Amino acid sequence: MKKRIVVACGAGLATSTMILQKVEEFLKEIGIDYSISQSQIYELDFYDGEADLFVTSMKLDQNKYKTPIVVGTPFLIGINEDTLKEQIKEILLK
Amino acid sequence: MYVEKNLVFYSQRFEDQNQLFDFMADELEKQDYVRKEFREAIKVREQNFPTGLQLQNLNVAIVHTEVEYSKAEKLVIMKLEKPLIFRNIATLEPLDVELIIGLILNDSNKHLEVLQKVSQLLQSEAIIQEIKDTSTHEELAELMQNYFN
Repeated sequence: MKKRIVVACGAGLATSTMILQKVEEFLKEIGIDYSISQSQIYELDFYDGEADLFVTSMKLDQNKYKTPIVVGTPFLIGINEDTLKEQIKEILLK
Repeated sequence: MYVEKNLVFYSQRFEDQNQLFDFMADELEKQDYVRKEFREAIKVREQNFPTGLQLQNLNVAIVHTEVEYSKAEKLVIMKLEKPLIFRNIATLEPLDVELIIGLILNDSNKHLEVLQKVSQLLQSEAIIQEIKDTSTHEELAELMQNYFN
């Protein structure tokens, strides 16, 4: 089944673009069928419960959302990328 | 040309973010690269959505606004004389930042390319070290121009 992922940052432009490229690369690598889009953080309510995963540039309160959230910053700075990849894999494959 | 010599600043000193953003807005207005609303927009943006990144050896802020305030596709590079407090993009904790990358992006499809390069830069310890090692405006400008242009 196709997994739906939304990458979000403040303006839905700069950081989310950088994060999105890395997320896509990873999803292809592990062979997950996906659709991915970009949004602004305040628009996430709109996708909540519909999407399988939110990757955001900043920490959000998971209690406010049904969709699981991971912070995508490791993809921006190249630190702790592996831990993040594991998290993403676990969420999408469960 | 994303990087222009006169938009690279070496050893610039600011007391707070406000001063830094005013300086940046002044310089960009001189070149007619931003609309006059840019000045406020970039300050508000940083307040609401901080952009501080903690890299292995250097803390960087990738400050930017929504695209409607920019008239060109440029980068502003500032190596600061003394660190300035920003907030971490992920945790929102205070972060002493020494390098500012101003992303001046407009609505063309070119910004993908420049963002990809910025992203590679942030992840390259070698280039970050080279930036740290520069000791004149000339050196920093040349390094950034070679990398981005």
